[in-house]
Amino acid sequence: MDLIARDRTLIAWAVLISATALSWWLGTDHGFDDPRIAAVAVLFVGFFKVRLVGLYFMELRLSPPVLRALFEGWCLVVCGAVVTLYLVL
Amino acid sequence: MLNTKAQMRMAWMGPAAIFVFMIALWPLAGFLPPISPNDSAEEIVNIYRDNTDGIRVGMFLATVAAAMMGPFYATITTQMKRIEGRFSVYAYTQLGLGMLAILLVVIPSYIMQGIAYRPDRDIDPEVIRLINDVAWLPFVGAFVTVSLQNIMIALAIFQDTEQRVFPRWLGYFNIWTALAFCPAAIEFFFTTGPFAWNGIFVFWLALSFFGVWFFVMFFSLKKAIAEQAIEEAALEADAAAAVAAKG
Amino acid sequence: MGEEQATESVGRNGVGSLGVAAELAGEAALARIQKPEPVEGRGPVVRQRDDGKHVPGEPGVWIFILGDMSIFAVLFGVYIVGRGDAPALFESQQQLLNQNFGALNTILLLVSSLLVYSGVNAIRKQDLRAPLLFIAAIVCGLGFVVVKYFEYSQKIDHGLTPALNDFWMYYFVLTGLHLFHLLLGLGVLTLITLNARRAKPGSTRFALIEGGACFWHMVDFLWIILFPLLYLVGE
Repeated sequence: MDLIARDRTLIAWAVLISATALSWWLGTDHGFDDPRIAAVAVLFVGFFKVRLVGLYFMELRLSPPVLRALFEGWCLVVCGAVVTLYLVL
Repeated sequence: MLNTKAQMRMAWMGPAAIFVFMIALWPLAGFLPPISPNDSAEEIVNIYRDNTDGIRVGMFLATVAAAMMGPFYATITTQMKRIEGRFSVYAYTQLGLGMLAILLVVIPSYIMQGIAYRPDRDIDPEVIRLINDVAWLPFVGAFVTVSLQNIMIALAIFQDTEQRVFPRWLGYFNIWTALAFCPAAIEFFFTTGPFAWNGIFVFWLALSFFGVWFFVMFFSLKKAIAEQAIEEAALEADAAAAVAAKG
Repeated sequence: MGEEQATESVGRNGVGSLGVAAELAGEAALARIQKPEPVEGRGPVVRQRDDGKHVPGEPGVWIFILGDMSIFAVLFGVYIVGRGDAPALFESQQQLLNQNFGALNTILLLVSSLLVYSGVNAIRKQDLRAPLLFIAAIVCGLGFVVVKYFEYSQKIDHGLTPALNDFWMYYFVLTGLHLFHLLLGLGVLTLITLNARRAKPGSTRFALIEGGACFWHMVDFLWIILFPLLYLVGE
């Protein structure tokens, strides 16, 4: 067990696991009355998790700003596009 | 010096080929957007009947354009051989697959020529639709040779750890395009929607990826050939100096 | 041709007489001033940055990873647009999915990502047990494949095939393309396992391992979006 990294990434991992449980709970008829709000919440949680994987597992938080910006830009743009398309259509 | 000039001329055959191909496909044959796999048999017969000469000239020029890609692929091979030297398995595989990719444009073009040859056939339109399917499925979806060709280019570039001929990112770029062509394989399962041969995820994505791949490769090739010319000039100057010193 | 003979003769003369060699070196230096700059190549793959920042893997691998991410971004968009065409159908078909399969696969991939991250760190510390972590990650990845196998066969047994309607078309294409990436990722992890002990931090080999690890993390987070998109997002 001492092989498992014990740093901020482990905390990020714990957050990811909890967020998965939360998404699962939100998506299965809990939490919100309006399923559309639940759907948007689930998508926001999803993209937040993507960002955590990028910053901590891929170690983009230690990378040059350009690369980090490209990655976070992807999260922001794709999240915005998916949520907007979902709400509009 | 002469050799790099010849290479540069052959590389320029590439953009010329793309230009001819776009003319053939777009205004002449009217295949942009492509014939839909969801069209009825009668609609497909009508397409060939209404634009017979356009399709004849267009599909002939498509074969011309395909052949003009030959010199371009050979130029890539020549630059790959600068990395690999005499025993250049990746360069040869790339060359062979490139020539096959040409054939995979030429054959569907001739199948379409076959339909346009006698547009007023008195046969079941379903037969025409079948032959049209036989032409379009490989015309759009024959990606395997291209993907493997791109992987060969990448493997050669990865050997060149000093990045003497091509920059290393070009290797990863080729791996990416190799993978990007793969979803075309799903066209066999669908006749409508984004995954059919005329869908956004098959036709339009494949066309744009091929375009992007082509121009990135073209400019990288031009750069590599120019650098080779400088390198050779430097070596010639060295040799001349050594000969002069000895004499 | 010419330059090979010339260098050879320089070499031979150099052995014969030191004086001639020195003279030749002087001549060559003179010639070098007049001739065009030689092309040095773009240099080694791994370079230390001045600002202390570190590009995971090597810069080139990010063309590939970001490129692949943009393909999946298009896929997500195509799916949401397709869903907008028939929300009621998608809603009813989605009920037939088993969310537990999806959630289990998310957990498997998250565990594997932690293992891969720890493995890269173990290589940094030159810990010889690093391959074990990657093998454990491969086991998690295989677990994902097994879960998918059961899920697919269950759906197909119930007649839920890609040809049935648009929802199942998207479901099989999206998860299938992801599975294809995951299988490639398993290949990458196998290569990493085989190279883990020989990789020195800062070497090209280590950069390849880091880049491969990032590819695996990408496979992980693409599933993190696909899971809610296909299984959870309701009307």
